Amino acid sequence: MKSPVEQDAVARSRVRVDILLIAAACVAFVGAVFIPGLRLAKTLSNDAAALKFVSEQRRYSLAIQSAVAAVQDRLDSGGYVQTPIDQLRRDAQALTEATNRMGAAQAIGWFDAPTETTALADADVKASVTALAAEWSAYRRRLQPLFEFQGIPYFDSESAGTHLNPAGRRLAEATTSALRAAREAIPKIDADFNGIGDALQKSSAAAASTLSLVMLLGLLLAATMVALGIMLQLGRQRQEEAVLEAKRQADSIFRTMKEGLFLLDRDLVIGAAHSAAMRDLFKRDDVAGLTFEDLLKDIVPAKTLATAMKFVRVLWTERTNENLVKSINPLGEVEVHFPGESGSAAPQYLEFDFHRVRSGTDISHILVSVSDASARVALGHELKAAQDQSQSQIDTLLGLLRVDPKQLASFLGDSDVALQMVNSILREPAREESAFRKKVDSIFRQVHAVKGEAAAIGLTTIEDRAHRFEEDLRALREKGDLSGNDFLPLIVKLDDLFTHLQSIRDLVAKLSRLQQAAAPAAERGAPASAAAPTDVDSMLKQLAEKVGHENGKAARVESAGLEALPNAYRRLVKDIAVQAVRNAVMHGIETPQARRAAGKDPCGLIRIEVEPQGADGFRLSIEDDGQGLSTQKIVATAMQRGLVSADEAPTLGPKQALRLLFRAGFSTYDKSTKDAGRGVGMNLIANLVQEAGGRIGVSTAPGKFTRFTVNLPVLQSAGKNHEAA
Amino acid sequence: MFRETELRIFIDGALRVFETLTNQAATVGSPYLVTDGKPGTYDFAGVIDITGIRKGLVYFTAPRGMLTVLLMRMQETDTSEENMRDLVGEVANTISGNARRDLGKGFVISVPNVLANASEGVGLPHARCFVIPINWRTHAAKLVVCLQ
Repeated sequence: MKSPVEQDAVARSRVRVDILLIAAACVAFVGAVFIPGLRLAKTLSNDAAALKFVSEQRRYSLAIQSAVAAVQDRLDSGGYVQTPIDQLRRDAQALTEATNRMGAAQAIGWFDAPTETTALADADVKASVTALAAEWSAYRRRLQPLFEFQGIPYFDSESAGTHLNPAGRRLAEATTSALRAAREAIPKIDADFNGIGDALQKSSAAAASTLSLVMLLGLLLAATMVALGIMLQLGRQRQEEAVLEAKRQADSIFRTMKEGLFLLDRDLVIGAAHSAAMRDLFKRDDVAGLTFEDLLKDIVPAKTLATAMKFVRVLWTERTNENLVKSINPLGEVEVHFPGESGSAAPQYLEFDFHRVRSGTDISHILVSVSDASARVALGHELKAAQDQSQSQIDTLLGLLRVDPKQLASFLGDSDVALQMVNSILREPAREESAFRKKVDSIFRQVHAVKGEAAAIGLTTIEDRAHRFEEDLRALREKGDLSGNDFLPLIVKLDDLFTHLQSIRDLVAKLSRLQQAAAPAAERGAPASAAAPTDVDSMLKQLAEKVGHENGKAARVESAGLEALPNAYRRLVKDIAVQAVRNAVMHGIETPQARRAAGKDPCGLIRIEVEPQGADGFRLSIEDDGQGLSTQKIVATAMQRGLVSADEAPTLGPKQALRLLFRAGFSTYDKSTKDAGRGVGMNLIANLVQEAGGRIGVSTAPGKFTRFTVNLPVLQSAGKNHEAA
Repeated sequence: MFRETELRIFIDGALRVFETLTNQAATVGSPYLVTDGKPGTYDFAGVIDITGIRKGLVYFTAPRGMLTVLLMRMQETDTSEENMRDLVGEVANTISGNARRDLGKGFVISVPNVLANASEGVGLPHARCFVIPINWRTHAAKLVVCLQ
């Protein structure tokens, strides 16, 4: 099937041929019919005029003969002769003039006016005319004496009566001679007239016959022209039908296609013809006549718009390679936002493609096609998310392989309890801002603990998630006028944490099955951690090593008495120790260089001891051999944080200054990282201890040590809250 | 974040109805998760099924007491069960319309189905759901979003 453009070209070519044929037929008609027809008509007309003239002149020969006879009769009877002689003179004069005119006849041009003798210029007639003139001229000479006679031809006397006088006798002789000559000359003159008439009639007949042929030819030519006209009309109809069909097809395509399609002119104005999909893609009806800039300005960012406009203008530049330019198309996949649509959960993406349209060698338009790439992009996101998830699972799996199974089991259990606790806190009905604020603080402690333990055992995927959760909580702490709306990000992140923990549990289960299948039968059932140190001890050692490594420090943990802890205190002590070890590495232990300079072991030491105190419960001490605490720095930081006023600060003693460490919002670390900077670490420890009904204290010696001492009551009086979590 | 935006779209739909019908704004309570597949329902529930990019359901549930006061606030003296159903349907319908407009073509959102005496619960596609309490005056309703 030919394209509409090809069809149009073929149709135009056919029309051109038809027009040429009609023009040729017209020229043929004029050359073969019209001009000869006119000439023949003129010949016929001239012949008819000449015939009429000739037939009028031929009477003079008989009239002359009659006049001569009348002269003779009068002479015989003695009558008056002057009258017939005058008549003879007039008739002879008329015939002389006629023969002169006939002899002087000449052919005329197209635009000369014909005379009644024009037809006598014809060669066939001319001979008869010449003969007539000669005959008449000869006969006229015989009549000359009669023309010249004047006076009275009679001699009249009473005695002799009337008789011819000498002049009369000469007249009588001339008349007799003329009559004799007439008997020979007049028939010849008549015959000449007849010859002229015959020649004229013959010419007329020939002209009439030719005219008939010419008319027939004209009829044929007219019929040909009519046929050509009909063919041309049919051709036009076919062309129009083809154009209409092509238009219908183009309309169908424009109406049905899902892509937006339109042309941009040199002023970057959108043409009148565009696909119907444009309405859906751009959510407007007035696309035609709009500039490309107006089409985009409300739906893409200003920067993208500026780049896109530059790009489209470059497409109009002949010297730039189209494929090269298209490779930098800024609208290849662009996110669009339509005015009035608030925060769509499924963002819309459009894909623009540009092609130069040429007319001859010049660029006449830019053809733009637009398609909705939202589904493809969404699919891409889903694919990426799936890939990320797979990668995350692999990372998690590799992380899990490095974690001590007992630690992991302990972590999973504790984390689940902590997250359930978070959800319980959220679930508590709240309408007032104070209730919401209280939730933030309570949730923070739980999430912080999860983060700390995840960091300690190297589960970065959990640590990262908990860290982001903390960031949201921190933002809420600083925000005024809290409401349930502000907690939406929290439940989404909580959901994500639950999901992630579950996926870890699933992985652990799979690993466990694999391990069981691979282990020799004899080893099955043997407690894997029988010879291992306590899970808290190994976790703290890992934590110190990890945080030290991440901060360019070296630290090790020595512990004693952890195994003596009752299970009910296990999590509490773990939470306190995690926070304290992290604080010790971040704030207490110096860098290896600084330690060497101070004459210390480059690797810092953190000692954790648990001592049963009989009826007084347990004492937990966490001591590092770092740089100690600077009370001045603590007070200065507290002032910066707004925890103490400028007036109050100088009045604080060393103990009061150290106590500031346990206030909410205190942190001496300048930069907020996953390990420090939230200003909640010591406050968290203090709160945990307080909730457990215990006490916490701190002592320090600059350049030597910092020691936190926690006294926990016997279990009967220990707070249930923490354990319940 | 898609999920948070989705939640906000559903919540906005619910809050708009209160604002429009009663000229008195409702507030969002403390949102939470249910992990046991039992988010609970009040007397009436308007349920919207969702398919497409995400699958699951969203429902708005309110107690008879709240609906009675709402109807009265709307100058409606007829507080019959029929009218309460219509009101819950209206809320679900607005949530559905809001979602249809803002979530895009990837979501196929059903016409709401209203359950009276919904205390036996609504069948959920999975156990963990988001629950968003909607507080209006002294009354509480809730919006449950359970999408995969």
